[in-house]
Amino acid sequence: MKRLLAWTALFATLILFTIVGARIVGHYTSGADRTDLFQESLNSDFDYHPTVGWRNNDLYTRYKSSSLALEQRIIEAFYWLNNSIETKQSLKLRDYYDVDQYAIIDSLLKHQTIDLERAYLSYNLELKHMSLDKSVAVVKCHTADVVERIIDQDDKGPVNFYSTEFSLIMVVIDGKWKIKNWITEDTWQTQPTQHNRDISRKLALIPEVVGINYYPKDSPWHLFWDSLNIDTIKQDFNLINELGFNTIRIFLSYSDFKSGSAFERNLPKFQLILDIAQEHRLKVIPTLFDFPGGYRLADYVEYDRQLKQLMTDCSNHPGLLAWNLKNEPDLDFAYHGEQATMDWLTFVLTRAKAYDTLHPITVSWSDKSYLNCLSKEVDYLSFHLYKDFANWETTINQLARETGKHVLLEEFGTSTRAGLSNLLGRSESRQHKEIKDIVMTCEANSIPFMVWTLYDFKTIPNGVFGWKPWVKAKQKNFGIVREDGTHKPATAIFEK
Amino acid sequence: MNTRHIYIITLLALSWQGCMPTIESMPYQGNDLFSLDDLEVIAGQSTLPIIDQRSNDLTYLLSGIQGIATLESIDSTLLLPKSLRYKAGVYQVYAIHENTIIDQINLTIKANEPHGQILTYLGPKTTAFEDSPGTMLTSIVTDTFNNMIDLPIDFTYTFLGKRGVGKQQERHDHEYFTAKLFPPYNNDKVLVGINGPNHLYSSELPLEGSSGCATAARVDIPLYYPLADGRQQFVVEVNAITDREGFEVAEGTLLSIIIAGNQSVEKYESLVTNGSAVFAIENPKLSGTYTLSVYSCGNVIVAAKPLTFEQVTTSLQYDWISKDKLRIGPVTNNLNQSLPNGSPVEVSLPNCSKYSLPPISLYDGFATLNLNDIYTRCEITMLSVTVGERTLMINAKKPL
Repeated sequence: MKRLLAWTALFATLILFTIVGARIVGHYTSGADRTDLFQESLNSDFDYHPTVGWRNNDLYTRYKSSSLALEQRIIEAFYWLNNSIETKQSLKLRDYYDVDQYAIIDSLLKHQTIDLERAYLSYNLELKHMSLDKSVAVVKCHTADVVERIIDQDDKGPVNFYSTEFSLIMVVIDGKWKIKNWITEDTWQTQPTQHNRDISRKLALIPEVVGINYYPKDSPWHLFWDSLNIDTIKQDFNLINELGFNTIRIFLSYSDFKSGSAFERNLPKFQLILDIAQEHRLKVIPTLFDFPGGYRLADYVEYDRQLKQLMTDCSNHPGLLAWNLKNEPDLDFAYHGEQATMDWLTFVLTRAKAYDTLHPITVSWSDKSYLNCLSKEVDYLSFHLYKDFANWETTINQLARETGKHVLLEEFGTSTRAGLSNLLGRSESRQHKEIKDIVMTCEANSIPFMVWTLYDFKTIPNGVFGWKPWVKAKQKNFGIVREDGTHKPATAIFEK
Repeated sequence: MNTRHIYIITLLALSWQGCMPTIESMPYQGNDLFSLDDLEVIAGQSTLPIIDQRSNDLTYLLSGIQGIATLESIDSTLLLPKSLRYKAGVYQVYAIHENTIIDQINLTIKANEPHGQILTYLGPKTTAFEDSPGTMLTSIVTDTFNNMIDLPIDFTYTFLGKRGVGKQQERHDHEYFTAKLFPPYNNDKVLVGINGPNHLYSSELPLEGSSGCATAARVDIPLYYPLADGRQQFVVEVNAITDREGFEVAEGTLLSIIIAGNQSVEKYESLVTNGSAVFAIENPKLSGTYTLSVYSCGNVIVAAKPLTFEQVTTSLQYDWISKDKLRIGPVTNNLNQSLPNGSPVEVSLPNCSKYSLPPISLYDGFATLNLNDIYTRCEITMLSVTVGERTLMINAKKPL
């Protein structure tokens, strides 16, 4: 009997390991998104910050703290309402809505046969009334920007952008502000705004790019922002300059620039990098939203806020060349779905053009076969080249002609720790040859380029390239400068 | 084709379809007959005309701030769901063909005539007649389905007080609400009611005036543990708070409590809410008898019976940390907790009584006594250490 129990326990353990192992492997092989394992979304319930503006009237000035309390309750009330519409669970709503309003919502949810995803991106509020004892308030929302999509049997419809105007009566019940009554006064489609963009000066610099992708040797990827060392940046930019490059590409990971303390901590660092780059006559292409938190509409709120804050605070910096809004989004198709990924890209492209009218905007595909995607929306096309080298320049030239847009080869390179050549000690000469071939092709066809990458890395943080040790090992040695600071032969290609 | 339709087409153009060679867009191929412009109905109406007649194979959705519902179509009409047909506001109606929105209109459900009871909020319930802006009455007029109404409405306010009945007329012309400020009523209780056209009425609302200062109250202390540990809290409720005329004081009146012992005085403040003021008082750190008095406008209005707190020391230990340094502690109470920081440690020298040591007190249950100085002046044999009610006699003869 004991033996039977032991075997059963062993069998159960094996099954458990198999399931967990499969989940881990599935997670790490799921494209460019590497959110924390077993975490469905980075958004927690209260980590939700739509943009809110108040009309600065007398009432608001007099009751500012009450207005802010109302604001928080309104944000939460609509967050939970949208969450309920999505999940068809209304329990949380009792805390935010008066019984009559709750009954209407609850009845609708019970009869809801179609799925709806919705998020409020921003509110423009006005305090119309506050009673003397601060127990009754009337709030008008002049404009709330909404994103919404209908989902019919897992089939996601296109994202609909609209704005709405509504009024709320809010009363204090059991010590909390609750929505007593409301009315929607108008709803209108948010027309794609034609902003007065003046990107020509910066766009004209794209064909001149001779660039390099940059992480410091000791702190690539997730380690970059927390370990940022100004002296290292200065030394590295000096080296980049000496090697003959005029542009660098850096990465702003989504979580390192989340609204709140992360953003406040890292924005000055980013601005400092732009300053140092400017001092070294280097232009910067920041790549935003690296390792994003998912493409649910509720997540759009944070993306929008992050984009607006970054672009508003940095768009006047002379060191900035262009914005890349997403690295290799095609790798997200398998994990997040093609439609959800493309909807999100369309959204951030539209918003980015409103927030920064001076700099070109792009996204960079891991595979050149996707370059047609959103080619009308981006200001220049951008791709990475690690495979399918045969006549690649012909495809690029054709695309450039058809679209009338510059095409930037934003990443290419060769690891010096790869395959047989590594064992035979020829890996660095192989890297030199392959990079030189591509550079010569670029120069012959006037294709601007950026090499991956400056340094070999001592360590690759977990979660970036999955669990396979041979993949991680290969990724450590794409640098054209060795870990000890000595130059590999490939540096000679660029040195003036 | 209006701007909305153009936008939908723009959206489709912006969407990803066509990026990948394997995915083809599926544009709607129906005949472009006609579609309606935006619609307006009165709350309660149950049907709408079909908004798009290009196909019988369309799904219609009604989307509003509250949620989304599928509209059932019967013959050439669409049936509005019960949960929304009574709720005024602007909604979107979508016509969907094969998961693509092919038409969209705004539907406005308008409120009916004002009707029934006016929603009223009066606050503060009682108002101080000295230095007070008064009481505010916020009124919200709705129709029979509880929809807010923003039309101008003429209100009649009727007052009933000691001086008889009075009336005042005013126009309700704000958006969805009106707010009327009533001046403080001097020691009076007045009932006010609102009437309007279409048999609009409100409940009778009492306006009470009061002095801003309390002169009498009752103190209730439901439970307290008489432990002088500086950590426990006990609740003091002050009820039946009235002014010199015997009226309840205004909401928000500030009351203070002072708890005073021989060696400490602490002050607490609280506002009158729903006729009471509640204080959370911390137990004193030191043993003794304490008075607890309630103040308003600088005067004592009521005092509680004296409260006694004791420091219960159950364990008092010591050790020598050097030849002339004595560490007293841990000193704990009957719950085996350290006595509060600042608890005095009394040290006396029975055979050197004319000398005294500087006062020391506990920190984290310990106190250190330096005997270096006293050893040079007197030949000590014993030390008496007292914390709370516990005393230790310690052999303190100077080591050779």
